Amino acid sequence: MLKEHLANLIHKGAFLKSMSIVKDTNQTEKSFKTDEMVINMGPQHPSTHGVLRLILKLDGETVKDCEPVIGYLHRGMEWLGQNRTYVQYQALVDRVDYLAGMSDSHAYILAIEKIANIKVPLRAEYIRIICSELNRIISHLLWLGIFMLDLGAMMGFPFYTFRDRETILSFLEEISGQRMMFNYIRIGGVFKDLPKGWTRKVKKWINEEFFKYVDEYEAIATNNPIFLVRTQNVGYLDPKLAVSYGVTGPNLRASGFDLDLRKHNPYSVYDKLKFNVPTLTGGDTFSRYKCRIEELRESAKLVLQTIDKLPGGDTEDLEKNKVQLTSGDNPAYKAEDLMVLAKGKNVPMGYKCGPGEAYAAVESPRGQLGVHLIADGTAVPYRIKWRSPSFNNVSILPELVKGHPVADTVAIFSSLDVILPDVDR
Amino acid sequence: MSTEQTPPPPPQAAPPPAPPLAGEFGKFLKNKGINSTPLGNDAGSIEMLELETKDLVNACKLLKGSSEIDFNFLVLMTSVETKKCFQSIYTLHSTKNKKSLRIKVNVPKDNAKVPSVSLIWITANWYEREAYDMMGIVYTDHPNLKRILNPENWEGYPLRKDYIPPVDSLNGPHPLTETEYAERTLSKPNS
Repeated sequence: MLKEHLANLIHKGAFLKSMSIVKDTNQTEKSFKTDEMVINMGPQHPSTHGVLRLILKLDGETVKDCEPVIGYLHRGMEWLGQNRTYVQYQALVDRVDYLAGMSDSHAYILAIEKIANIKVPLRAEYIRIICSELNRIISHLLWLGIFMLDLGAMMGFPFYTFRDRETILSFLEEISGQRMMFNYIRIGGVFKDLPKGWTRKVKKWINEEFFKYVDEYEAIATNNPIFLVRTQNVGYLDPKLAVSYGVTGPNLRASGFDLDLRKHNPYSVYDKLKFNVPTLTGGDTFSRYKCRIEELRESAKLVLQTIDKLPGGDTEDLEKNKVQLTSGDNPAYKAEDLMVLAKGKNVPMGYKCGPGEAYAAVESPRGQLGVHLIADGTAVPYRIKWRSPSFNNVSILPELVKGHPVADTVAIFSSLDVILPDVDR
Repeated sequence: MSTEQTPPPPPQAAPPPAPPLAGEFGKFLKNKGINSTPLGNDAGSIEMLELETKDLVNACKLLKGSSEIDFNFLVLMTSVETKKCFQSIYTLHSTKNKKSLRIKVNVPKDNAKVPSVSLIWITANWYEREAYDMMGIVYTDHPNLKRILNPENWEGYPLRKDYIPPVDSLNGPHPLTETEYAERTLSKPNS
């Protein structure tokens, strides 16, 4: 039966045509009757970066339509904000986009400081920038590893990027006490001054190791023929379409639209620093990759520059002073006194703000991350609304994947650098 | 540096503030025949306007279509519940002029309907779905108005002030007790 059927097919030439041995494929495609198939991708799919669900309409291998279904990671961040004081909520905002906790805190604190009209010490502003830029490097490094993994580079490439990411995470852990949920940027400044020798350590690592590592990543990825075939001319993003969808960040800049809040509308002390914003014109997956690689270098240079310009210079050795103060025959303080001082510190729970309204935005690794805060003069925010960049970036996915094979869906989605907790909040 | 500061107490006999004057974009809309109520500037010196529901779509078309104003970016849409009504708030931005505008539309609570602007800025498509999901504002002429973050069979609109969250047996006490506690311990003004 089957033999007969095959022989029949070969006789008709359809078999050969479908194997694309015969050149006129147009005729073959017309002669095949295909059904549209709806398949479900996610939310447990490993390359959906958490819990995104895509409903794909396929014609053979080609994606005809796609609908993202979000909300599987919804934690009610805005509701939580309305039911906590400003200071209590401060500890939660790092979870909005857990790969860029510093940017989240920065946007939230900037909104409060705008309403309450608080001036921040210059040194604290510089420290904030150092932390934000280090955070940008962390986020891009994680993205780079996962992106290669999604493209099928299963040979352990992520371990290189995760190695360097851990180094920076340990730097930030040293100053904030937490590995990823920093809660370091506070109302009116930062949690604590930098410890002694920290800046020198960071500078040494970036100068001696980090730039070399970025070259290594590029040596592995950028000229790899398989990588180029998977990324070049895949998922073209038109800049005008991107703007109407509200896409920001490296995704937009890779399409040739130069919009970076650090230059466009400088917050903090970005206007006192010199840096380039990498802007490419390709608009495809490869350009988005290249844009982030350039941003790794620029951010590292910016960290070095900010450390050099840090007002007040290197911090004094607090530990050494403490030993001097508390030891010897006639100490200024006893060790117990210091402990009591720290324990009995009266930290007020409430911070009254407003009434007023403000929108503060920062350039997070994924784009424009903003907070719309409406304060009514109490210690609890009246309304907090997050403008999370990933929410807009994932909404354009259906436009990008149409007409591409299923395998490219993963590459395109991964190149948008979407973080699902940021989408769902 | 101090982590907490308290703002100075407001003066006792402050004169009533003068009503804010129409800003740049308020005047622009008035020239085109659309009336708006100026609300002054916010803390980040962004001009704020209040529009009537019927004027919203026309005003948005004018603001986006005009070549000298050119609000090509809908940055954010917020939905708020005030004492009297719901509000749908649009923050617009022009990348050419580096200017922003905030438009507020008051929506009555018993008939919460606003015309959709998702045909003007595609960004509004998902933001309006979110506002519908969280606040229960219905956007007419929206192509695909359904819940976005909550499950489709969810009951109630979570960000309304009278919303009572369902009992969560896994994560300890009822979340409402926390709200009640906050309300009891923190003083709220009467207004």
